[in-house]
Order: sequence, then C-alpha cells, then structure tokens
Amino acid sequence: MVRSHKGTLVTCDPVSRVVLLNLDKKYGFVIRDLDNTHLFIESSRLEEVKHMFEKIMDQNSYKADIKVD
Amino acid sequence: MTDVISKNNQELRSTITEYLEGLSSKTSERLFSTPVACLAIFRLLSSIEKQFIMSILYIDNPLTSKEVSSWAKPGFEGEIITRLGPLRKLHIIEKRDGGLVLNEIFRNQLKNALTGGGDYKSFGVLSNRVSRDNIEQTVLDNYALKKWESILHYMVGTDAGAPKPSGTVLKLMVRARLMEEATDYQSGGTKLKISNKGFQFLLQDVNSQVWTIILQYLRQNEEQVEEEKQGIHVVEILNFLFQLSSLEVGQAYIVESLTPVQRRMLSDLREFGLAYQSRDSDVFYPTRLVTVLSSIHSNSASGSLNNITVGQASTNITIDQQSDSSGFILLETNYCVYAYTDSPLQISILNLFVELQGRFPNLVTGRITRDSVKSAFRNGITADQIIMYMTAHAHPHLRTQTPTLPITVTDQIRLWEDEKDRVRGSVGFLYSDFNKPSDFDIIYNYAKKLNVVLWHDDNTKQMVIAEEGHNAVKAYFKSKMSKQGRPSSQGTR
Repeated sequence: MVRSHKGTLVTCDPVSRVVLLNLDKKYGFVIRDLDNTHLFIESSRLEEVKHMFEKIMDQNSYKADIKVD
Repeated sequence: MTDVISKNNQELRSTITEYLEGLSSKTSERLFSTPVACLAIFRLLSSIEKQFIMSILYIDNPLTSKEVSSWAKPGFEGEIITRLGPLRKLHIIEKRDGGLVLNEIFRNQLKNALTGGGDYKSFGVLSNRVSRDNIEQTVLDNYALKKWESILHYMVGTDAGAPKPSGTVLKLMVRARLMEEATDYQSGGTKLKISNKGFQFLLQDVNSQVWTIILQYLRQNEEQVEEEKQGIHVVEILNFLFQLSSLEVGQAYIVESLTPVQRRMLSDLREFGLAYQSRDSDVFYPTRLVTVLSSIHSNSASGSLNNITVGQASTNITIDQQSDSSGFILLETNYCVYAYTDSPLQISILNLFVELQGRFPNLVTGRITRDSVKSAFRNGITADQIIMYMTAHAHPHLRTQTPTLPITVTDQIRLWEDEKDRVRGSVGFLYSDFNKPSDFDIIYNYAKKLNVVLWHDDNTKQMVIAEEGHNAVKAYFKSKMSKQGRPSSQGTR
C-alpha cells in the first residue's frame, strides 16, 4: 500500500550529505536517505540541522594568516 | 561584468519610463505642455522610437498601420507595430481616424523644443545680473559631494557619530526602506538602522543612487497630495526635474519663475545636495548630481549601454571624489586590499566586506576573508555587488589587467556566496511503497502536470510532492483507486 510521510526535502551537495548523515547518527532527524544529493528529514528539525551544519563548516574552514605590511 | 552593470542601467531607465507609463493620459498631456519635458522624454526613448517620432513629427494626417509597416524590412512588419507599444503607453502616439498620430500637445512642444519657441522659461531662466553669491563650479561640486556623502555616511555609520541629515532626508530614507527603525538596546528607544536594501544602495554608483532617491521622492509626493490635485502636483515636479536635468552647472537660475510646488521641491533637493541656494536668495544653482540625470538618459537611450561601466560613469562626472579619474582600490591575488583613501565614507563601505587591518594617513589596508565576506552576505549584499564595487573603484594599476580583479579572489567570493545555501530545505510529502510500478507512474505523471514534484527516483519508486500539491494528488489517487478497483497503467493520461 502506498504511504506518504510529511517532512522536508533537503537538497545539498554530496559532501554536505555525508556531514548531515554523520550528524544524524548522533541526533537522529533523517527519515529517509534518498540519493546522493537528497535527504528527507523531519520538518521541525530543519533550522537546528542547518545551524549545526554551519557550525561544522565554520570549524573546518581555515584561513591563511597573511599579514599586510 | 558589463552585462550585470548594463542590466542595472536598463532597470534604472525602465523605472523612470515605467513611472511615466503609469501616468494617466490627462496627466501625461499636462506634462507634455512644456518643451523641456517633451525633449527630456524624447531622450528617454529607444532609437527606434525616436526615429519613428522624427518621421511623423511634421506629418499632419494620421498614418495607417499599413503605411507604418511598409517602413520595416520585409518580414518584420509586425515587429514595428509591437515596438511602438511603449509609445502608446506613454500617450505619445494615439489612434485617430483608424491611423496613428502623434499627440497634438507633444508634437507642438517637441517642435518648439527643437526649433525654439514656446514657453522658453521651462528650460530655466538665467539670472542676468551678477549675483552677490556668484559661485564657481568647483565650489558647487564640493558642496554636492559633501551633502551626498554625509547622507551615505550617516547610513553606514550611525554609530560612529556621523552628523544627522535633516528630517526630509531621513523620512525619505525610511520610506524608501533604505533605513529602518530598530530598537536601541542602550537607550531603550528606537533608532534608525541601515537595511539590506540600504547596503545594496551604498554599493551602487552615484547615478543610480540619485535615481532611486528621485523616484522615491515622486512616489512620496503622490501619496501626500489628495487625488484631484495629484495630477498637477506630479506634473509640476516632473517638469522641474526635467528642467533641472537640462540646466548647466555653474549658472545661476531665477527662483521666481518656479511654482510654489517647485519651490518646495527646490528646498527638498537642497537637502540632498542636488541644488544649491543660499538662504533666501532669489537664484539657485543646480549641481552636477542632478544635471547628470540627463546624461544617463542619453547614454542608456542611445543603446550604448554596453560601453558604460559604473567606473566610467563616475569618472566622467567626477562626483565621487575618491573615485575621480584614478580609482583607489588595489586587490592582490592573496586577498590583500590596499585602499588609497582617507574618506570615512569609503572606509566604512570597505569595512562592510573587508577585514581592515591598518590605517595610515592616506591608506587603509585589509584582507578579504571568508568571515568578512560572510558578514556582508548576512547584510544582504551579493557577491556581484562586492565585485562590481571593487571593479568600479579599482586603482589604475589594476585597470591595465583583464579582468581587472584577480580571478582567484572573485571566484572565491562567488564560491563563498554559494556556500550560503549549501543545505536547502523545502516542505513536502514523501510517497513510497507503491503496490506496483504503474501506480508510481500514474501519480508521477499527474503530479508532474501540476508541477508539484520536488524530487523523484524511478529506480526506487519514490517521490516527494510539494506541500501545496499533496491534497490534490491524494484525492486524484483515491479517485483512481475507487473508479478502477485497482489502478492500472492505462490511467496515465
């Protein structure tokens, strides 16, 4: 029988997907892993997930310390 | 790059013509009643429209559309009629006796404008006598620049104690949503804060900024005046605006020839540095800020859009002291920025997207970093705007290179912008576990017709339907099921 779930379709690049899936292991929000660039998650968690994702991305960006003289 | 800029200019042009198109035919006719307005409108038009008007200016009888289309190359007859659409919207051409004819008032006044005659006062009346406050061009330029920059500086640096512009200016800024009221946590009251739109405004060239303000001024006046007077009011303002844009900088013009409405407008424009008038003087001086309005008309109307860059525009008019003939920004491939400026305004603007590190008497240094650019994005500034701004104000050293700015940096700024929404979410319903593949096809085809499919996968037979389409799709599927007992593949209509 056909089933329908309410949720939020997340579109992202493959790298982000892996990051999100890792987050999911800890926090559990993914309803279904659709394909390389799509995830289906609980709507109520979207903002929280985005925030966590931003934080990880910020932690993983490095800046060269060039001093202007 | 030029594409983006020319698009901006086009938008600009379209806003003023759009505004004119929105006027009723009665208002338009009133507007046509002075030669200066007709000439100014004529300059706004595209070359094909101009050519058409010139062709029929001295023809008294209406032209049938057959005659008009005979001017076109074979195969383009329909084209010429559609290209005349804007002219009809502007009420410049009318239908009469089954043919096309120029609006009578427009025709007469344009003739006057071209050959002289008519209400010559509409072009402004020069003051004959040597005024006690005879003012030189450079003084006017400095005055306009100071006024304009102080407004911009106030927008960007409310905290840095920039002097507050007058109430007229502030009201207009709020109305144009360039600034908005925000709660001040220190005093508990409200204070004005720059909005996202305001940030974008700052990065535009002076011409665009003046146009934004002028259009807002027109709209604001429309709102203030009661209906029946509105037409006259707007016409007087537009007339004065067209008049101003045709005046010569450094000349004194008589206030006396202006209507009361126009006098009030003059005092408003003074606040923006668009005109100069010493206290209670009977003459006024237009500044370069307002006279360049007509230069953008002729530029954009002549179709030479592609040749204009913001940089050139501002160098031609040298309104922007900091960006006069030489730009001041040096950008290196290692993201270092050197800006030869001591203007608090330019430094504040740079501070929007550059991490400033050092300040010297005539130079500030800094770097473009992920954080600095991200904070600009949060303020609603786009990567294109940052790049455009730096291109427009690039130091002559950079101008010798093509592209002007190092690609590594511009590309990275765009990549950072893409990062902004790496993860996008949209609410929907996931459909899965179909009984048979054909059921999937039925729903998929129906949903596709409604344009509500967000995602689908043929292999796993799953799809996501947008929230607004869910009910329709569900109802459709149910009706299919009940009608046929079991849905079959024939149902895919």
